[in-house]
Amino acid sequence: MTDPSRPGVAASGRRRAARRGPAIALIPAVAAVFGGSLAWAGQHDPLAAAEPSAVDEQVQPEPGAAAEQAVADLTARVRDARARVAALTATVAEQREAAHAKQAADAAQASAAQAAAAQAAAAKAAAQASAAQRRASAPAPPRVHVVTRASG
Amino acid sequence: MLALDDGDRWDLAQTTIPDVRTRTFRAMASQVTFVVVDPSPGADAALERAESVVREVERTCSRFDAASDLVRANAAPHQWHEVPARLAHALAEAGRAHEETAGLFDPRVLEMLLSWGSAESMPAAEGPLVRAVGLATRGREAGSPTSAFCEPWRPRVARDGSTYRVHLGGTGVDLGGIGKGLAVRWAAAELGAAGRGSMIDAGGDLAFSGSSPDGGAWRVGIEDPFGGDEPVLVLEVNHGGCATSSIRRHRWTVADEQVHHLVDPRTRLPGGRGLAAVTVADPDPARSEVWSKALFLTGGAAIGTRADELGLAAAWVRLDGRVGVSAAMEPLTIWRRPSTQGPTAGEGQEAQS
Repeated sequence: MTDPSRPGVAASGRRRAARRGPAIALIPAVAAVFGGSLAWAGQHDPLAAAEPSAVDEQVQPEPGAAAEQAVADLTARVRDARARVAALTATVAEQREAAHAKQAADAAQASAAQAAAAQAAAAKAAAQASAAQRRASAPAPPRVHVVTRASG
Repeated sequence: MLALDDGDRWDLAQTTIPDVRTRTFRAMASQVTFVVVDPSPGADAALERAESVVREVERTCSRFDAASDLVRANAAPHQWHEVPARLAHALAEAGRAHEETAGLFDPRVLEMLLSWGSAESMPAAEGPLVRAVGLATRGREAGSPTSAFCEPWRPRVARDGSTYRVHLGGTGVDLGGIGKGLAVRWAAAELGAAGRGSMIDAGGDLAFSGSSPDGGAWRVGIEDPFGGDEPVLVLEVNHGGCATSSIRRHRWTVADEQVHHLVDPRTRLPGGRGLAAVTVADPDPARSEVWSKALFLTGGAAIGTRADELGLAAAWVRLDGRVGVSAAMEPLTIWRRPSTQGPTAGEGQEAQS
């Protein structure tokens, strides 16, 4: 910028500006050369391919693939749950069947016991009736002259 | 009573029956009845003597009469005592019975009976006796190992002219297991010539001779120890004695356990496992009484075998009601209660009552 109040200063500024122009014009070229060098080095770094980059480890699937995976996982879980439900249902059915079988066996046993008791009672009654009949039809005891009993 | 009083049987206590003379009195805690069939002129005197014998045995040999000679001797069993001839003979007979039964008959069971509180039980009126006492002493707990029970009983009897002295061997004794049988034996001897036949009933201890009022043998019913009027067996006996040992009447409770008067001297506990009653018919009334008790103590498992080994005429009623008879009893048995009839006599062949 020229200061109008100072004429000598205006002449040196014009010279300085004339020098800055070519310098500034060289900057893009230098930057381009430098960038090219970096690009070339990066392409030719022998370790660059061997070491995975941090960015590679955190690669996020694309939105469509993640959803498919989630659906697959959920489907697998549902399949597992169904399998467990089926297994539990089978177990419950087995236990119920066993309980029914036991009840049936107990009932049969009780029935058999009742039948046996009834049979025994009938046999006892028959025996008693037979004894009573025998006694009734048996000859009365002969007249006795005396009875022997506990003498103390 | 002499007979079942159902109107169809003999009631020999009735003096209206022709040619039969009876005498009934109470002695030795029992009703005693004498019967003489076709009495001879000396029958009344014989009956008098027979009653005197029974009363003398009671007077001298009872452990319930505080004034008896036996009670006096029991009070000092380690000393010699001058006693009446009747007690001396009774002790000698008891000693013989002790030997013959290999100790199963042991008058020293008095110790056990007293410890169980039976002092008041024996002379009780007839009928079942179940009494609770507060004494807890029983069985082996009651005696020390050094008790005289461990050794055979050896009473000593000495005679000097008409004087008899006895030594009990250091232990008080109870002659209840033989006293009544001896009284019946000695009384029967007095009645032997009193008539065509005679019978003595001393509370179940019996003696017979000659013919019955029917002209035949004497028919004897064996009481059902579980009650009822009908006997379990009817025997026919011409001569000898008959006695029954049963737990029906004399039992009581000690420390919540029921005990009875038939004590096994080997265990010092009530004996006769599995048995309710045992009857023995033997020519000697005293032996009948002794062996009815000794066989009872043999127990239900071995009684049949033992009775046959000894040739004893025995019948027994088990606690489950089965009735058995020994081989020697079979010929005397003329009737069995139908519910007790079995194939034959003997162990394992008894019928259910």
